[in-house]
Amino acid sequence: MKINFFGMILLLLTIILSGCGSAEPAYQKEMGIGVFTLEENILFNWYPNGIEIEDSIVSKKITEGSLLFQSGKRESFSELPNLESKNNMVYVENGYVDGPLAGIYLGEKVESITKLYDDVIKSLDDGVPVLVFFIDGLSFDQYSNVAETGELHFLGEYYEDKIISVFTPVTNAGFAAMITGKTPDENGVHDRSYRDLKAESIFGYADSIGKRSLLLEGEIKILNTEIEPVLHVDVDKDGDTDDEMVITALGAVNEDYDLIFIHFHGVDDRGHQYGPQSSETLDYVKTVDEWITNISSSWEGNIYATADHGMHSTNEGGDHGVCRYEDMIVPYFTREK
Amino acid sequence: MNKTTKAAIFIIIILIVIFFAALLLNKTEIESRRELLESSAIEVKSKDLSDKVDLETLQSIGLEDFEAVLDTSTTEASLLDYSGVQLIKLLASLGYEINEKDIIIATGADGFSVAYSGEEVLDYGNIYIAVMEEGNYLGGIEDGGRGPFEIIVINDSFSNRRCKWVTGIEVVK
Repeated sequence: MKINFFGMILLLLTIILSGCGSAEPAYQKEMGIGVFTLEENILFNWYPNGIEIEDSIVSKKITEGSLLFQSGKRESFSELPNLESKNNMVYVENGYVDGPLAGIYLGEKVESITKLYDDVIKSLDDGVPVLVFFIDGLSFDQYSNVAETGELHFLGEYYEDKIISVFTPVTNAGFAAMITGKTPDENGVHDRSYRDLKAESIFGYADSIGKRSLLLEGEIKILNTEIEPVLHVDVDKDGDTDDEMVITALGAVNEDYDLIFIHFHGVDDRGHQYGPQSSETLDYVKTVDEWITNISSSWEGNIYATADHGMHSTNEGGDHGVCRYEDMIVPYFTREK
Repeated sequence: MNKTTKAAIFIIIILIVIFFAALLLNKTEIESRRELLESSAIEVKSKDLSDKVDLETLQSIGLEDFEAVLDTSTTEASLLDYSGVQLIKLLASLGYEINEKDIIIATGADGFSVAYSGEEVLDYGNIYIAVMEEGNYLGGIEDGGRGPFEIIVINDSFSNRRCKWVTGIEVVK
C-alpha cells in the first residue's frame, strides 16, 4: 500500500493546529434560524429548503418582517429575500456581508427595545424627569398571563405595546440596546461576555446636558456605563436584592434626579429556577408591579418600563438567548405627563 | 534507509520539535504569569483608609488552600483547588473593621463590580482572594486568565459573584 507521507504530516499539523482556532463570540458555529411572529413561533432551528418557510408565510399571509442577524443587526423587509444554507448557518442569498442569520420576525413593523432610549432622550430634552423600570426577563406571555388575572396595577394600566428584543436576547445585549438606542452590531455588546459600550448611553447623554442620573443595580454591575451603578446586597437574606433596591428607590424619587433607572432581577431569577410560567415567577411579577406602583406614586415625571428579553420553558426551568417568540417579544409600558 | 523509514524519522523529529516548543511556551507562560502576579496590586480603600495589596502582603498573611466550584457559560461546573487569602483576614490585617451591615465592593480591570455584604465577608471561609488555581497562577486579562487576583465566593455555586482581574476593593459603611 502506497502511503502519502506528506499527507500524513499535513493531517498531523492540521490536528495540532485545530486546537488553536480563533473564537468568534458573536457567531454560533452551527445554527438554524428561528421564525416567529408577534403571537407565536413558526419554525425552530430551521435551514432553508424552500418549502416550509414559504408555506408558513402563505398560511399566515405575512410578507413583511425583519431579518435578525447573529451580529445583532436588524433589517426590515417588505418581501422575504431568498435564503441559503452554508456551513450549517443561514444567510441571505448573496448577502454574506451581513453575516449569518439568527432568525426572522414575520409581521408588521414593530418597535424594538431600543425605543426606550428615544423616549428617555425626548423626556430629558423636554425637561421632564424620567423614571425607568427595567424588569429583567419579563416576556410578553408572562405579562399577559398575569394581566389576565386583573391583579396588576401600574403594569396593567400603562401597558403600551409588544416590542422586540435584540439578538442575542440576554441581559448584557438587551440592556445595552435599551440604553444606547442601538442594536448590538452598533453598540458592541453582543452577549454576556461584553461590558463596554461603543455608543453613548442615556446616562452619558444626561450628563452631557447637565442632568443628574442614578442607576440602581443588584449585586453586580452589568455594563460599563458613564455613571457607576449603586449596588445592593441581600441584607434580609430573602434571596433577592430587589427589595433592598426598592428602599433606595423610594428615597431617590424624592431627591433631585432627572433620570432614575431601576433594574429588577427577580423575575428572571425565578424564571430560570422555576420556569417562566410557574406560580413563583408570575406571583413575583405582581410583587414587582406593587413596587413599581408604590415608587411611581411619588414621581411627577415620565415613566417607562420594559424588559431586556423574555424567556422560554425548559426541562430545568427556563432559559433565553434564542431567536424565538418567548425570548424576543416583551411588553412596553408608558406613563407620560 | 528506505523511503518509509525516512518519513517515519521525519515525523518523529517534527513531533519532538512540537513537544519542546510547547514545553518552552508553557514555561514562558508560567514565568510571565508569575511576573504579572508579582508586579500587580489591589487598591483597598474605605472612607478613611487606603492601601495597596500585593502578593507579598497576601503571603505575609498566609496563603490557604481551598476548593470552589467553577461554573462558566462555556464549561461544566467543576470543583477546583485554589490558593489564596480570606478577604476578611486581609481586611483585618490592614485595620478595616467590618460590620454585618457594611458593603464591600470589588472592582475588576474590565470595570465589572460585585457587592458583598459585610455579613458574608465575615462568614469565615466564605470569600477568598485567589492567586492560584489547580497549582497554576491565574494569569491576567491579556493572556486569557482570570487574575492575577480573583475574588471567589465559596457559597456561589454558579460563579456569577466572582470578581475576575480584581484591581480594587472598597469598604462602604
